Amino acid sequence: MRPILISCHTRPVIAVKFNKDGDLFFTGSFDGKVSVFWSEPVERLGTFACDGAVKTMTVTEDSKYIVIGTAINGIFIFEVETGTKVKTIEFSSKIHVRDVEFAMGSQQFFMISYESDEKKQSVVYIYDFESVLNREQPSRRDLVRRDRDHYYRGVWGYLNKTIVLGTQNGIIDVVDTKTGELLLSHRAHVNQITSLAFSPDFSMLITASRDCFAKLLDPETLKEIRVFNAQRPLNSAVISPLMLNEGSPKYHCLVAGGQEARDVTTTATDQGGFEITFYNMIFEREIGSVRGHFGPVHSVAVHPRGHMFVTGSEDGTARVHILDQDYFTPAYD
Amino acid sequence: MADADYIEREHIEATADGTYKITTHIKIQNKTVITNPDIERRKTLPKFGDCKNLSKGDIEGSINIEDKEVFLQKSSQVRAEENITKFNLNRAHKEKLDALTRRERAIMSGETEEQKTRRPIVTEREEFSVKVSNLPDNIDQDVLQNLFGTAGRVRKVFIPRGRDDNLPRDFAFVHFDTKAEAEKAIKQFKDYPLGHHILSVEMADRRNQRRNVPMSNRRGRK
Repeated sequence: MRPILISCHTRPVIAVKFNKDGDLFFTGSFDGKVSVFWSEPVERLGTFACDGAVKTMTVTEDSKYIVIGTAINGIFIFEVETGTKVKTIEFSSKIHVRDVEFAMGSQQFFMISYESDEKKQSVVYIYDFESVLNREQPSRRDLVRRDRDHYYRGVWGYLNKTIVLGTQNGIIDVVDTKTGELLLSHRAHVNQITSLAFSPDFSMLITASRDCFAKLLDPETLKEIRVFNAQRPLNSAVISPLMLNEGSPKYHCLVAGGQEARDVTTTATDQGGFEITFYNMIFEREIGSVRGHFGPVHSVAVHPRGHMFVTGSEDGTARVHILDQDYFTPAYD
Repeated sequence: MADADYIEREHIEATADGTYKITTHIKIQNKTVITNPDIERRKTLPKFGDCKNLSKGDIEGSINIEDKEVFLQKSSQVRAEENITKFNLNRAHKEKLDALTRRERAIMSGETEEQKTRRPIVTEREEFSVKVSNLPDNIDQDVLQNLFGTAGRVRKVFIPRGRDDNLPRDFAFVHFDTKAEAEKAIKQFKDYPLGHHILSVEMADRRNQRRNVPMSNRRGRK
């Protein structure tokens, strides 16, 4: 395949996301812009300009609104189709947004923040999206607080009953959405958890960590099912939706990362581990890898149909890979 | 053949044998394609933001197709050599993970770091020892053993010796199996006259006593 190279951004591309229908994808960068693209054929639809570096973003299921979390300037909400700014939620400069994500049904979204005041806590807030759009002061409730070890990534569980949160030291917490009660806590990693993702049917949870391991967990018990040793710090791991393909399911997961940006100058490009690796989840075996980036890969997103994926990297580019027809043959099972 | 689903076409073909009139019946098949109206609507959206001036179909210079072909390479051969290191890494990771979980559990159960480091020094067998001080000079181990044997079963009597002269010091430790026996010994031998001395008996501080034991063993073997 010949990937499509997107070099619209001037600074590292930190987040990449598809919408639910898969006809649009979004790339967010530290240069303060989020770009929207049509996925087939790849063409830029527009940009959303925020103040400050974009850290994370999330799109509603009907692709009408996008919520963008920036490092210290708060949350920005745009209309996807026209690019008009709908709302800005501003915080004091001591609140750092770590992650935002919409729940199933797009009625509410959570925000993981780190507050660098005296308490130095990390707090998970849940926003009611309707009130965010209509009211001056949006209604929110704080669900969990944690000091010492801070939450870094999160994901909504099945039917919005739980939120799975990953901390900076490698602990996974499962929290009840209504009461904020800690249901499960498990040490899965030695270092920071950089990515958490469910499989499309919510039967498996995949984590990626800077301790060079990606793990497949049972979401009910947080028991380790499979362990993938990638031998480089990981930034992102996703499960391919082809696992739900009728007839010829492919139980594949995509794992990407690479050495930290500050170590890159001291090593050769081929040693950095900037490739995107495909693993077979059943046999715990590496299928192959796709090379191309020359900086650590921050984020991987797979099209809901599974035939293409987008990666964003520290080198300032995003790449769109449309998989060849051979990938769908049994040779790559 | 006047069905609505069919089209008829006629043409005349002239060959050497004569002219023929050829009629072709073409069946019309309707194919329905299900499309998502939202996706169809979004395909025709006008551009905004940085690419406002461009129309649909104008691809920016910053979006290129890569010159080189990229493959999903099977890297089984290269990785086979690395399997040994991979195994070691897996084990190291597991050990690290176990150590961290153990430490967390200890913190959760209320143990402090200090207690944890001290724990291996303490023997598993429970021991209760009594410190006997103000002993007469040149006291014999057997004398103390017999004397304290009346209070309970004496496991061991230890008399520390001076570092310089190797002579017995004026105190000793008597070890009992149970706490009750040790308490009984304290009660029985408080202010007990032994020779010209009056003994003072108390519960030994376990920490001090433990530090002394290995030294005595070393000297005893010599």
